[in-house]
Amino acid sequence: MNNVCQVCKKARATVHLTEIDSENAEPTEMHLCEACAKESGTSTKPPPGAAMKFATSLIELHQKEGGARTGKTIVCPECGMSYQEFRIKGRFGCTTCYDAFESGLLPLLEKVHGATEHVGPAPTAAAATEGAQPALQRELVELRRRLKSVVDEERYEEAARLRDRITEVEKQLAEPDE
Amino acid sequence: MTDDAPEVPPVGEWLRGSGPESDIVLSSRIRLARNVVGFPLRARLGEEESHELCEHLQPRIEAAGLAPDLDFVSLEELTDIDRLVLVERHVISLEHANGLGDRGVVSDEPGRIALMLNEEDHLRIQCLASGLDLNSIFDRSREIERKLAALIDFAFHARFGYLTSCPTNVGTGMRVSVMLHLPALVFAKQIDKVFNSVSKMNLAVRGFYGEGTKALSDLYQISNQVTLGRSAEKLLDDVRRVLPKIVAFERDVRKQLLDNDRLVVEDRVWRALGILRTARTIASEEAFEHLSLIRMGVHLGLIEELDIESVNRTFNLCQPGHLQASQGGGPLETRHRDIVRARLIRESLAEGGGSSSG
Repeated sequence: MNNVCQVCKKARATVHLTEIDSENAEPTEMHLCEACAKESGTSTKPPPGAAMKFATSLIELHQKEGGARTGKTIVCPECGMSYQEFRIKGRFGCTTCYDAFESGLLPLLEKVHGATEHVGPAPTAAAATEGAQPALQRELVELRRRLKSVVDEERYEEAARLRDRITEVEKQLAEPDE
Repeated sequence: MTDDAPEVPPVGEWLRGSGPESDIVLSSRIRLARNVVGFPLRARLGEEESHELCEHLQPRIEAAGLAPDLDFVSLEELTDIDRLVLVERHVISLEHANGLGDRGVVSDEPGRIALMLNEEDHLRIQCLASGLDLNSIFDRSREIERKLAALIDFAFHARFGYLTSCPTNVGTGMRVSVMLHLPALVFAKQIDKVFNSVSKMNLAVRGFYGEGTKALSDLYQISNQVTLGRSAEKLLDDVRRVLPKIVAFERDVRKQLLDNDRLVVEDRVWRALGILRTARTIASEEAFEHLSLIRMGVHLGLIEELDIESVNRTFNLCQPGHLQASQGGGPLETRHRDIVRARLIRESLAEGGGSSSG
């Protein structure tokens, strides 16, 4: 973890910098405390727009200087975000980015979470309720499916009726056991 | 106060001051980050798409029948001060308040349930409870998530789990956090020990309003650091197991302080009350600092003439958003605000005035 300032090794690091080197595809990270960041001339509050402008200029520089030619710049085919832009912003552009940036993402996830794989049920499995009362359970699944389609069709009156029935069935399912 | 004057918004769930361990644990909160299949993530979501996203989510949230008293509010239609009030009630995040474009929140009045639409992620499900009550909000957040998942396709990846805008939230998308009041540990300079041990256990300590903010009024948020690689149950357990230890530490130090330095503690606590009962102008930071000591004094039985409700009510009205809302909702200059704050605090903490207003 990067809780301590890398310069003075004492104070809590509150300023986090990602430095992009045009030679090196892997950005380096710096973690500094407020005082050391000031010392090094890094303003913690750049004027609005300036940081973005700087970031964009770096991306352009990187793409000009061989990145694009050597095919090193990875760009998400879905939203067009480049890996460098993702590292600067720290935010993905779309869900496809996760697959597009996988090679860089895995070490990052390892560093942040100490893991690269989710543990837990997928949403469909989580939504299908557990165990008892198979008939009611089936009805509930069916009601939810119908609710989804009527909402998709913007038939809200029908949706309200289905919702009430769902609440009723859920109550019945909850009562006998607990 | 005159009858036609606007009132301070009522105390929200997070400041209700009841529930298990509420002398130290102010509130428990669980937040789930979810994104919707078919929409770009926030960083690439245009103005028109933001609008479409809200139009997609809102009827589905309504159709899910989550709770009886939920209301939708569009943040674009609120004033800066009304948005600030929601932040101070812990109904929306500061980032959500200051964001751009079509965005909103579906919540109940006290803020037990809040669904943020088009925050950093498309949807953030938040459940909050007064005191230390993680199990019930965990169950409630799951229930809400399950009902919504039947109507909304949440982005889920076979390897990475629930996909989020920021890789620090991926996997479960779950943040469990607890707001703690630790004045004795701060006073006895033991708080760094808590920070150090907590950070070794994959937990993070944050300031009052969340990431990157400083601790105000000796209030600290403790939450899970990671969201990937452990099940939601395990992450909940990580936080749940550490809390009793921190609570016990704070209680021990409070007792120690009383045993060894009772007079010093009493002096500090009563001086704090003295200042708030006499000040003519006061900034929120200073008010919070004194209220922290008063809060501890009430819980330790050092101040018997005040109850915890009046301390919480005073804390509530000190906050800049609440204070300005109570004066008609227009922006007030800091200087003027500090004068109004001092007056409201004097009224709120007046001798024998604690119960007469209720």
